[in-house]
Amino acid sequence: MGKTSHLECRECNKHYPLERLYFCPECLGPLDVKYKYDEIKWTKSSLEDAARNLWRYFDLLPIEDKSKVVNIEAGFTPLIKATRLGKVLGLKNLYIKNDTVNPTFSFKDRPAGVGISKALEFGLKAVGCASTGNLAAATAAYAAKSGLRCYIFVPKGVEPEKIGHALIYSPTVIEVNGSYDTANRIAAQAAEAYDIGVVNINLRTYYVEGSKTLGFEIAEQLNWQTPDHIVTPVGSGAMLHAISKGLGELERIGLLNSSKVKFTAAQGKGCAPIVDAFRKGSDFIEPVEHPNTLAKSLAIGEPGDGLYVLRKLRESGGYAEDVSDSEIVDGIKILAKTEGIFSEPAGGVVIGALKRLIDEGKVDSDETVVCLITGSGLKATESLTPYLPQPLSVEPELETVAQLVVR
Amino acid sequence: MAEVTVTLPTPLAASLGVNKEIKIQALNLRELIKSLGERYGAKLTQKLLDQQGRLNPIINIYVNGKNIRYTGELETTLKEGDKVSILPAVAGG
Repeated sequence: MGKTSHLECRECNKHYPLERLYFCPECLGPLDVKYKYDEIKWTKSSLEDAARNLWRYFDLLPIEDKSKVVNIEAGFTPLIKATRLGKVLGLKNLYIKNDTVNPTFSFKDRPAGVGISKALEFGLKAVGCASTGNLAAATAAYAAKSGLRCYIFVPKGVEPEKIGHALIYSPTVIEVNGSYDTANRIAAQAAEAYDIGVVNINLRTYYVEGSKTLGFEIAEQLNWQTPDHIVTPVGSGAMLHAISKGLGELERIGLLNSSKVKFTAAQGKGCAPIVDAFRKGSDFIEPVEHPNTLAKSLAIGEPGDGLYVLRKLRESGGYAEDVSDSEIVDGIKILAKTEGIFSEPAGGVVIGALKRLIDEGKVDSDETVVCLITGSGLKATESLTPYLPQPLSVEPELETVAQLVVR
Repeated sequence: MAEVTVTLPTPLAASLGVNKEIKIQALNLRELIKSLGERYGAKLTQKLLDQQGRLNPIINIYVNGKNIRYTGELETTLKEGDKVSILPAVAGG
């Protein structure tokens, strides 16, 4: 028998077998995968020799047949002590979880890997996704590796680098004339009509499990401790919820004494429906019909897991911050300048939000803070170019260069 | 009265034991949900609306591809031949 136990509705707690369900037929709530936790015998040392990718956590991922695992060596990315950035910001224990180094350069390699492996296990012939860009490349890469047909639905206005990156893996890319939420709706209808396993829609229950490996890794890399505070970019909110679930599971199996951690959700001004609801103290998330932020990967006007993020922020004593385009650019620059990490705008949102928390006295200087940097800046160079200086142009004479070198 | 086609997501249609596509007559969304409840049981209405009688935030309803949250919510009027899709509110990732 397998290690998974059942699906459980997050709203009404009803249980279902591990089938192709992506919401609770009883109350329409989202479903979570539950495992036979008592049978999982991880110890701190038992994982030491495990594969250095996300599949090291296979026992708590929802694939039963190991032969169906599609592995492109994603995950187990570095957790870097950001001493120089910490010094600038006034934090002694600041860490960067650098997920820009995944095979398709974003954290989406985690959930896409689990979603597509599950599609193989279900015997599907075609997969796809609705994407603001990062998931497009991740899904297309895994589809290429698995040999499944692939359909990618993107909205108008996604960064050209992200579209080009996805296209190289030879999926069918369908640019929908509308916002992300429109592309998402078309993808959902296509999933139903043509039996496509759209990873973040009708395989979502399984797909989101991949994102919790971020939480597993952070805990493992901090020697099986949780940080005090995790600052995370938020689009739909699925990643934040998954990380929290993952930490809870580590506590459940005895690898963490406590899974308590404060979460801050960071969004771009111009598409911050979760931040707005948090500030109003409301559970109603007012959708954003026309998102307008440099952080296009977070431009989700109708966040599917928004309600659950709000609950998590409140439970954990965390915060929600929205960051302007200029704060995003400043965040990207300071991260690159101090730590040598080039993030896409979502990472600028995170650093901008952290700066805000510090300015407002919401973070103590000795707190252990982890910032999630979830996608590479190379995916959004066009949108950043206007904010960068021109290179210095010189004649090929050493004397000219001499005037520019600090001695 | 306008006759419209309502499409339900597969797991919901299966749990109700009905076809994914339903023809129904209604003048607006509120009436449509009421008629669905009368035909398939009050349980369906309870899934679609919250306790205050507003659209349940965990689902989205589209009329001809337009999210009703932007077109007057439950007061969105319907005309002959409109296509109504009910989908769980899952987006992003």
